[in-house]
Amino acid sequence: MNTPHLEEGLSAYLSGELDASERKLAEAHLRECRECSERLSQLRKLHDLLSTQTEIEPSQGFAKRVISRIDADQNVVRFRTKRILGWALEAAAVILFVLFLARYDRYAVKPGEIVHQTPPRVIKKVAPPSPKPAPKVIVKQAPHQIKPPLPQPIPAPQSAVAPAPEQPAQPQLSAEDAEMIANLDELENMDVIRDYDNVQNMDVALIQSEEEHIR
Amino acid sequence: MERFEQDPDVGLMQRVAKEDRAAFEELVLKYQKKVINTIYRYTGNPGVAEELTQDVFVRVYRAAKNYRPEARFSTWLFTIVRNVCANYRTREGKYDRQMDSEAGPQLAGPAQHNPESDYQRKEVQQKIQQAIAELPESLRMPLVLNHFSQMQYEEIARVLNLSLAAVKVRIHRARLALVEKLSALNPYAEATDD
Repeated sequence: MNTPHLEEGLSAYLSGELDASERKLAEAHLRECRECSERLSQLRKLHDLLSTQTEIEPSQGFAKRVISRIDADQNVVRFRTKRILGWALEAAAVILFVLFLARYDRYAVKPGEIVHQTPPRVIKKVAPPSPKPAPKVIVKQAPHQIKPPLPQPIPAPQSAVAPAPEQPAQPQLSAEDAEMIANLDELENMDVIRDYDNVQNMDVALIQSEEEHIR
Repeated sequence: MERFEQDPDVGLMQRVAKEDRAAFEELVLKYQKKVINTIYRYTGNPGVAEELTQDVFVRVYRAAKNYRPEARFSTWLFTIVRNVCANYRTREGKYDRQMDSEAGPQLAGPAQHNPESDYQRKEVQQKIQQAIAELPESLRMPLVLNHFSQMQYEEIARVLNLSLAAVKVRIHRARLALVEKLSALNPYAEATDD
């Protein structure tokens, strides 16, 4: 018989891995092939030798120890998860606090700082027209002269028009009194002008300082 | 192969997704020995095997809520075993191949009353374990899953994301390599024809 050797078929035959038809062919070959038969014999003895190997047993309580280890691992995972969450919360709190401080500091008033709630407006003040000085009313007294008496007024003819209502008689001021009054007016006007100018100057100064600050 | 929808472990896993601790403990008790022996054969260290087995089941619990039954539960479970072993290999560079039977899980099996035979038995077992540990990575896991986890080729292909043909080849080569490594032991010096 000139069939090829069984090779790995020998191990499969030994391990019971061949189906019925394959096993028949193998057995037919083994009946005729000395080499394969010797090889099969060696493999069988090896199989028996390996089967004498003593098995080992897990130490007592092995299953319980496995479960204990699983519980311990889960506790570690829970602890680590809680710790990580704790750190995350702390980090978030710190970040919020820093943001709060930054926002607060932005609106805080530092000493000497000019606070502008709104952007400062450039105020242009238009200077009011300078008031004209009141005319001086100075009554000068002419030297004493005897003046001719004034002619008596001629009474007006009576008409249908109702006569104008009588006006109260004006008090008669002396020349000195009139001069004093005129002088007082002048003085008052001068004070007003001066004060007004001072205030105006102050405003200008303030506006200038504000403009410089803006720059 | 039974359909995974009928897999009772899928139902348990769905209860674990609802944080049913009793269902989870049931799964652990059902698979702890298979998982620890797979990892032990892969790493050669029983203490490391128990530690990595714990890692496997912790991962199973954490992944419960996202578990989608697209295959048998054992297929999914041993995919996690594969990943845990791969991470261990990457982390450790090379793992300790020394068997330490004093610490951690204990060797099961009947006690021998003859100390000398016990010693010889342990010697043989250490040599076999060392030979397995020295196998290349690509050959070791398929062999371990097939022989020590009683997993069929098709499921091994899914767990390791290999083709069925690749799994057959790798298991065969792993066995041939072990035959060669262990040829000095008596069983191979007296090989006879069948």
